[in-house]
Amino acid sequence: MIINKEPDFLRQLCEELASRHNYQLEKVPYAGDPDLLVKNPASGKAVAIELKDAGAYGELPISTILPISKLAKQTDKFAKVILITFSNVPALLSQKLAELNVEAITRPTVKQAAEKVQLALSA
Amino acid sequence: MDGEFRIQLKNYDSHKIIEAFIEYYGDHLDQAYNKSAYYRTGDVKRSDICAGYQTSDSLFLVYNREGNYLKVYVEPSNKKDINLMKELINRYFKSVTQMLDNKHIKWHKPQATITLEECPLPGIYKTKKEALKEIFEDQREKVVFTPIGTFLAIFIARYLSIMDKIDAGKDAEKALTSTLEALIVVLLLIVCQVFLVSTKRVFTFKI
Repeated sequence: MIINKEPDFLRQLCEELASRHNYQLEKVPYAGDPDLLVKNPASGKAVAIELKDAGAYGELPISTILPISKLAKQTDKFAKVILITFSNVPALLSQKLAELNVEAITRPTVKQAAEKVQLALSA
Repeated sequence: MDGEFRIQLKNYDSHKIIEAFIEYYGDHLDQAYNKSAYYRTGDVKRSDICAGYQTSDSLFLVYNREGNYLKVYVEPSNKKDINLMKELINRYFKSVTQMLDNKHIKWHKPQATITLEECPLPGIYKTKKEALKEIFEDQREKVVFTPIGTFLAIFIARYLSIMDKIDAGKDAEKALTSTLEALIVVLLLIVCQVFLVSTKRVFTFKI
């Protein structure tokens, strides 16, 4: 059975970010856009958050780089992409993500993910 | 939409693998790569790939060695046909594993996934052992627990003198017949699913 952890995690992350910071949160339901856009109204800076889970396969397929790369190129909309995953990230994909300046976080807690967002928005 | 399958090799010899792909599929890596989404986007370089092949409806690319895993990227020409995608994964999986067998390269733990928009679709591959285990788990109640329960109930009924000897005998006969029926079903399932179906090299995708 495929357990989709993404919606639950996203909801909790939104709650965590909303409770601690004055960020603007925008959930984007369309394919090709990030799962969550977090904006700091004070600085105008934005960070895109993308969640990926490989399910029973256990690790993200290397072709995950294709949609992530599309996102990372939208530099006019946000400064950075953070990839949150509940699966392993193969070495080749990890290297490609680093080349695109995408930060991949594997199996983080909601608090850890919120801290990364805060750090990216303050950098 | 694209797919990937991976196979763990006991001994991964990169040169032997590349030679085997060239022998079986020809030296078509450049053509296959140049047709792929990776070439168009530049996200995965030609140097990240060690073998490839293309047909009119699809292409596959083999990534460079990562641990003991042989990873194959499968890209269809028609990115909206899920049935084609499933067929392609199984077509290339069967063909690649037959190549490995012919080259006496031992492989195990095959896994597959199809990336369908934002949702991963994992493929399940059952070994004979796993198929046997599943049959046993499914039929355990009919073959083991139900007969034990029935005979135990007859014994208790006889012990408490609720049931006479003739009725108990009839019930025991019925329970024995049912158990034999269940056993025959299990044997048929083993023959069909383990010895016939599991020899096919296919992933099952549930959608």
